[in-house]
Amino acid sequence: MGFTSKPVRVIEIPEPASEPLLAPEREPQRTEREEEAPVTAPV
Amino acid sequence: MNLAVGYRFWRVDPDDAWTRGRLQSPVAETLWPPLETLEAECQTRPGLRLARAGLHRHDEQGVSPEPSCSCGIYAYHDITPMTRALREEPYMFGGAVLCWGRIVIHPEGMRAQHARPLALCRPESPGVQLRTAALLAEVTREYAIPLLELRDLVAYASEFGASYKPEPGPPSRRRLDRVKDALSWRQMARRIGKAFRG
Repeated sequence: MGFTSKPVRVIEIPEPASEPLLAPEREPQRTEREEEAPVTAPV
Repeated sequence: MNLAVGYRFWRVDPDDAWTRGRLQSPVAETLWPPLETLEAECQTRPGLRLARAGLHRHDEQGVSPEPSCSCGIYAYHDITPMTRALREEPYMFGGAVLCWGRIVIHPEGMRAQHARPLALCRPESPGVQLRTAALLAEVTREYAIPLLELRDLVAYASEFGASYKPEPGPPSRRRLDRVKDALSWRQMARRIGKAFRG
């Protein structure tokens, strides 16, 4: 690997505070089925 | 600031007992440590690549990559140059990396101070897939990273960071002038053709 062009910019990205290989957690998305499910009164 | 995502390739030598199962940089021959961060180190030596590295060696901080040197951990901004290289060698494998620290950005890719492999991609050829399945399983287990289809690699990698690919600059004045010249020659030829026909 090698680049033939000159650098265009230099940046500094701080070291990740947590384990970098863990993908950011997402809010679990509600499915249509869940949204459409009828609300039943507790028996 | 988001961590930087890039794409690169590694060699994995199936016949070398010492490096088997390890990702190796094809140019510098650096072995990437499993489950750890690789830190760039300038390996340019006087008489090898030098004049430029001479300046770097006297850098007080000694941080690699130095913009004026060729050192650092290389990665492309896009997967296309990576896949092109994979077709050339049988035991070369592509994947995504996560980079941070000092990042020297070039139009086609970046040179980073710290990097970790994020994922490997499955070879496209069924023949190569068959021949390398056991080896790739060993590598992905060693590094605790997934083996993905090429089409899923970018989406997966972008969960962890961002691309720092620079925006293409406006065309230079010189290039614009060349286009203008070409157009005017074409117009002149068209006029001459018309004059002869008419």
